[in-house]
Amino acid sequence: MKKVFVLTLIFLVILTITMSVVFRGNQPVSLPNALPTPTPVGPPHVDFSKINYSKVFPDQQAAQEVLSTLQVASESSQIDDYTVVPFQTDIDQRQNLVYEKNNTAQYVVQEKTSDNTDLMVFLASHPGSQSFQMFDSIHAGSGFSWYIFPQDGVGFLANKDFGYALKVLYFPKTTKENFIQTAAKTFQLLQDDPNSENVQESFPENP
Amino acid sequence: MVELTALQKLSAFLDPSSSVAGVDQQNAARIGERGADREAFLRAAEKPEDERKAIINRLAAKYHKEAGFEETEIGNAVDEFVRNIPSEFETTEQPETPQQLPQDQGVIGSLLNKLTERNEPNIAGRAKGQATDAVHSLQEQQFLEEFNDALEQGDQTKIVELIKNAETHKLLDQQLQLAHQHLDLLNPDELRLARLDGTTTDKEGKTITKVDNMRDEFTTQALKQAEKRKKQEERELTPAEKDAKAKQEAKEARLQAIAMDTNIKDPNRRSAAFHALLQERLAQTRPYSIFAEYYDQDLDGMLVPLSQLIQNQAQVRHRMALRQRQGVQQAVNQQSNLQNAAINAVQKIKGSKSRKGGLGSLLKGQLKKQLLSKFKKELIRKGLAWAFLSPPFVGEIVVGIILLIIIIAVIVIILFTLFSPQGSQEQQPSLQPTCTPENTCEQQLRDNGVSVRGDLSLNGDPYGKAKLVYDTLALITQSPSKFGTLLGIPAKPITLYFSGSACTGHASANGLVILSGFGACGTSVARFMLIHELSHEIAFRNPGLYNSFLNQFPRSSLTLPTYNCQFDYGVGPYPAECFADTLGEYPVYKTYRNIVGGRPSYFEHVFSSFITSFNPFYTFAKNNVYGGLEF
Repeated sequence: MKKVFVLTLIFLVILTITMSVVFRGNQPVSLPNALPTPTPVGPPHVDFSKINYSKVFPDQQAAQEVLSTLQVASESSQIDDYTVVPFQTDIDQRQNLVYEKNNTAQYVVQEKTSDNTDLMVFLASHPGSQSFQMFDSIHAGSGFSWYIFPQDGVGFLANKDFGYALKVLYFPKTTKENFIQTAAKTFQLLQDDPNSENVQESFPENP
Repeated sequence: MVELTALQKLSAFLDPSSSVAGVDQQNAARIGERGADREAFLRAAEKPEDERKAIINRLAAKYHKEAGFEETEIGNAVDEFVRNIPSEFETTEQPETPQQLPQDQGVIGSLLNKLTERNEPNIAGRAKGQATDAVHSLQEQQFLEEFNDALEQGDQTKIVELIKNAETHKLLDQQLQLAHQHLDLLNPDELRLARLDGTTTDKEGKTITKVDNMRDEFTTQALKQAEKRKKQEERELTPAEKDAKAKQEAKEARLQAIAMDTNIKDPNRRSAAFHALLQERLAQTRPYSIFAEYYDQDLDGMLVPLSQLIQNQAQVRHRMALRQRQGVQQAVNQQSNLQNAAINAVQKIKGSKSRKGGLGSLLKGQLKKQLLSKFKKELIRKGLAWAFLSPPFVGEIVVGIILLIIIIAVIVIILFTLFSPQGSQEQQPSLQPTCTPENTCEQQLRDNGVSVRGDLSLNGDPYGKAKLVYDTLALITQSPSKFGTLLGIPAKPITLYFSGSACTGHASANGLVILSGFGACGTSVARFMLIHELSHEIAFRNPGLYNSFLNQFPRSSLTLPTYNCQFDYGVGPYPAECFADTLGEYPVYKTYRNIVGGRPSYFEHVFSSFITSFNPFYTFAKNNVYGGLEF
């Protein structure tokens, strides 16, 4: 009977490993050590290969996971004193953005174009993380707002009921106050909900 | 002195270099002040008759005193101009132009000929310009005819020569260069086509540019495809193939007829048809063969969407390549992980074997066969219960595997059902087309998860608002619509609160919808208000659907001509409002377009073009929310 127990245990271990491999679709893909180098398309405002991401991604695995989505860059633009480099996603006109200054990435905005539970996953893996909510007027009335984790350097534009994210913002780890003074202004995030009770959609008189 | 007619006097006044006798030449000094009127006079003949009359009437009224005729003669001048253009200005001699003016130049051609005949340098110059344009037009026609002939005859040399000399098709160069950029993303054949860089020399030693080279290549490819198609067409088709071909040709003919019909005033309709046609063709051929097919038509304007189509196709293929690359990477990683897992498992088994001679030895050779055979017999003889409870343990393992897989499958299904981002599949609301008697509407709505609060009266009917809500919900949730399911009623309740008199609305994530002035602005507006706000609730409760909307309609391409989509919250367009308007307009577009104070301006007051000019939005609502139900 002891043999039975041992063999069953071995089987369960193998099954668990197999299942984890099968269902690892949403897990980070481990990539080669070298970070991918996006291919520039537009005018060479930025030397893509020289951008230093260590400020935004102190964790190498996180950097690899996000940067693996940055495949082809299009023409960059200037916002405040940042050079903003858009990178193509699998959806036209939804682009990941790298906010770069002095060859150092200051912010990375990743678009989430498919179904996910990224906020839920993050909360599960960071149980003690402190967060606060901010609002994005562009997505007012959609149920999505920003959940910022300043001490983790990450924020999610997400629907909290589902943990579903539209965008993920990566930034240098900071305090809530500093985030509000810096990144929130850059991305025009609001502390008050623009979709609050005193804002109503208008409808016309009967034509 | 020759007695001049009013028109001749006017002509002489506005055209001081005229050699018409008897005109006071002092007027010549003043002509510089009237350049615009003179230009209008000279160009009047080009205009339609009504416009022509109006121009001469205006000029005659303005200058009759200076030109020397009475006000009463203005009408005569107009009539005479309209009537006498051919005889007044016609000449039997041809102008000094490279080629005879084409017939369609008509009156203006005759007028210019006459003016040129007078040997007046400035007028002759313009006449020459006009004539040159006309000749170019004629050359273009000739080019197209020759190109078509060469294409039919399969004369490749002639085609290449024609294309190289087609100076008027500059747009093609631009489009080819644009295509060149994107062809870099395409397959090896197209890469070969696209990578003919710089200049090179042809067989005769003549230097040709990259574009020339691309044209050669492109033409060669097109001809190859044409030959291939021809061979395929010569093959005897099966009845099914013939039928499919006939249907396809009929479909394409319909689309092409729409695309080429200049009587259709709505450019979006033609453009949509053209795109659809190209999509049909693209499904069968490569982009450059489409290019070849359309090159012989005067479709410069349509080459732009064609180029966009090529670009889109390139991007799609590029994305597919990226996904493939990621997929390969994932597969490699998974394979590596599986190998590691297998190695670990083998090592554990080996360890077990070395200690106690465990599974490794037991599952090998004859013993394994004997055990399995014995298990099978016992299973048949005594049933699963016996096999599970009795030795040998192989039976337990097999049954254990089956049970474990079933349990895991059930757990996975439950988890996916509970935590699906699209929202759980709730029970559908069941609403009859209308609620009778009206005092039961409130209760029937509540039974379906919709509470109505506040003042329910409308136009003297104490339950009017509840009935209007009920009728609207019954309309939009009827099968096969998914509106009620996406809304989540009755499991996730909605509360409608009626207050105020202004026609406004507001939706909260907690399911509370405030409707102000519901019904006061008319039934269509009320229905739109209600559906618009409920659509916000759908977005709150179905984040994946909202994300799909964003994927299909990025902010920069949101163009619904509705107030909420374009102006609400200030500057618009805002995706959530456009999402709600897309769903809100779908059932009412035939009678109502959401505007406030006339904004945004649009050519129609209702929104009947929603289904055509904004078809992607219409289709999104139809397929994703209303389940194909049409109103």
